[in-house]
Amino acid sequence: MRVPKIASTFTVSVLLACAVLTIGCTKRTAKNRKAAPEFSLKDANGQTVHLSDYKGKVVLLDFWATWCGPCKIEIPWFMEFETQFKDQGFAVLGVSMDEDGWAAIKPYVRDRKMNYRVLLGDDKVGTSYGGLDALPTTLLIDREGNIASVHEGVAMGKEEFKNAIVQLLGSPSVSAPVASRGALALLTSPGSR
Amino acid sequence: MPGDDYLIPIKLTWNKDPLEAEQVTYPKAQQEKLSFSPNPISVYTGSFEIGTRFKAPPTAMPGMAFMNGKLRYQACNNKECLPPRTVDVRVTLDIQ
Repeated sequence: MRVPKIASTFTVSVLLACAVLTIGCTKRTAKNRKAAPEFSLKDANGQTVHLSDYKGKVVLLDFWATWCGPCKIEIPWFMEFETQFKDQGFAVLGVSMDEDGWAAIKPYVRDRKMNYRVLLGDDKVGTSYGGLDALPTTLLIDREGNIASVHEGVAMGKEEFKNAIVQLLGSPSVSAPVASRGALALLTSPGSR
Repeated sequence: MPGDDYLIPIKLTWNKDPLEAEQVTYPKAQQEKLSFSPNPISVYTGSFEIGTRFKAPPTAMPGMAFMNGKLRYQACNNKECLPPRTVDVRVTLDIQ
């Protein structure tokens, strides 16, 4: 019987796209803020959660995934913020973009004892928040439901995040007469690699 | 695994027709210490090659053929990760 031979061996060349990653922070003054897109997502108990449920609170909205190593740096910070500020009208929402859904998320949440509400994201929410090209992407949303700042990647440290939250918690609402003095003083830390 | 249970290692897979992928060979990875992990992570950077040895079954017809496969990978650095991607891979083979 004839045994076919292959003329040559093959390799697949791969060029990683790591070099194009960029990180950074975008902040907006109170009067220039835009409304955070509304969403309707499920939490681990199957309960539907809307962003608008949190109107009146300062929200730290963190898009993350179990496969995102750098997200692990921030999660303990956000757990601490949840504990420290929840009684002052603050909440952390973690939106996981894991394709494998709760099967991947639940063990991770349990292992890390995550104390804030975790939601399962989808393509729709990803698109409405600008595509989420990289994770983590974290937004600080003011009490009016407007985006105060966007942080792509681990763009700033724990204390800077905390200061930004404290400032938002203390800020008057946009409709108040002194709103123009309520601008955030977030630091910008553009990354390089 | 790249050194962390939750990270997604690069993987090249091939369809079973018209040839069979007998062995996929990955290059030696670099061990890098990234800020999010206490242990070094196995990574590839820059340009690298993944080799495959194909086996032709006796029924394979001589001539030009295509092998289709998929490459799944995840790219990260110290600060952020791109979402995992699966890309189509295709090579042309001359079966003699």
